[in-house]
Amino acid sequence: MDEPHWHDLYATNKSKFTAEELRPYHGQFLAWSKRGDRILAHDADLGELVRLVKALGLRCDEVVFDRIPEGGEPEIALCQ
Amino acid sequence: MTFRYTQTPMPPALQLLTGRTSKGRPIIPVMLYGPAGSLLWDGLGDSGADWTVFPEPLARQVGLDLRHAVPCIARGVGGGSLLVHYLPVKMRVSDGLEAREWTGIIGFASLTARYALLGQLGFLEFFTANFQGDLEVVELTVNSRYAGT
Repeated sequence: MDEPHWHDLYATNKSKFTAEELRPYHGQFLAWSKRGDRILAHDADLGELVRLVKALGLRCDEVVFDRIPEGGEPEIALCQ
Repeated sequence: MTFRYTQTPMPPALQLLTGRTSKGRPIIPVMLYGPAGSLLWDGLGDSGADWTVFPEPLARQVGLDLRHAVPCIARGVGGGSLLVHYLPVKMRVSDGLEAREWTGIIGFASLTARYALLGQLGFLEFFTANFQGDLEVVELTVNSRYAGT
């Protein structure tokens, strides 16, 4: 079961990470804590990252995944 | 369900123009289910996108076989094209107070964007979405097309 208002905390805390702090993770898949305050694991391969998350004793619904592209986050993401 | 925008840095060139150092994005974590497991992945709510598209490695990870998916070319606003494979996938969204689960048609592609794209088909078609620019939150309310739980 999700914690009440978990997304508020997630969005607020994740916003505190600067582009500079995320630079080492360019080209990597990330596993964020659901509080958004920590990057629990990262890897260039999603399958390996899932293994790392499970090795931490966590389920895949207890973290939030994303991926920072090589060169950083593009400003526009539109698709028609 | 209410989702607060995630703040991202404003490009320096636009900081002077806007007077702001950050801009909000309506990021909505979505759980994807497949025969081999599930993953919670950040998606960007985009009412201007026709499709819902996730990065292709997720399909492999949750065991979705894209050989049975329908291929289609999607075009971006800049004119670039993208091969997308579509198939029905079970999804779940929750803000912690409310949870919704449904099956929708979504695509998988080699995305260069950081987040999945939560567009009309497969995602927004099932909700009344209220993007509140001043409060920087998006509210999702299920609509008559929603047939999930």
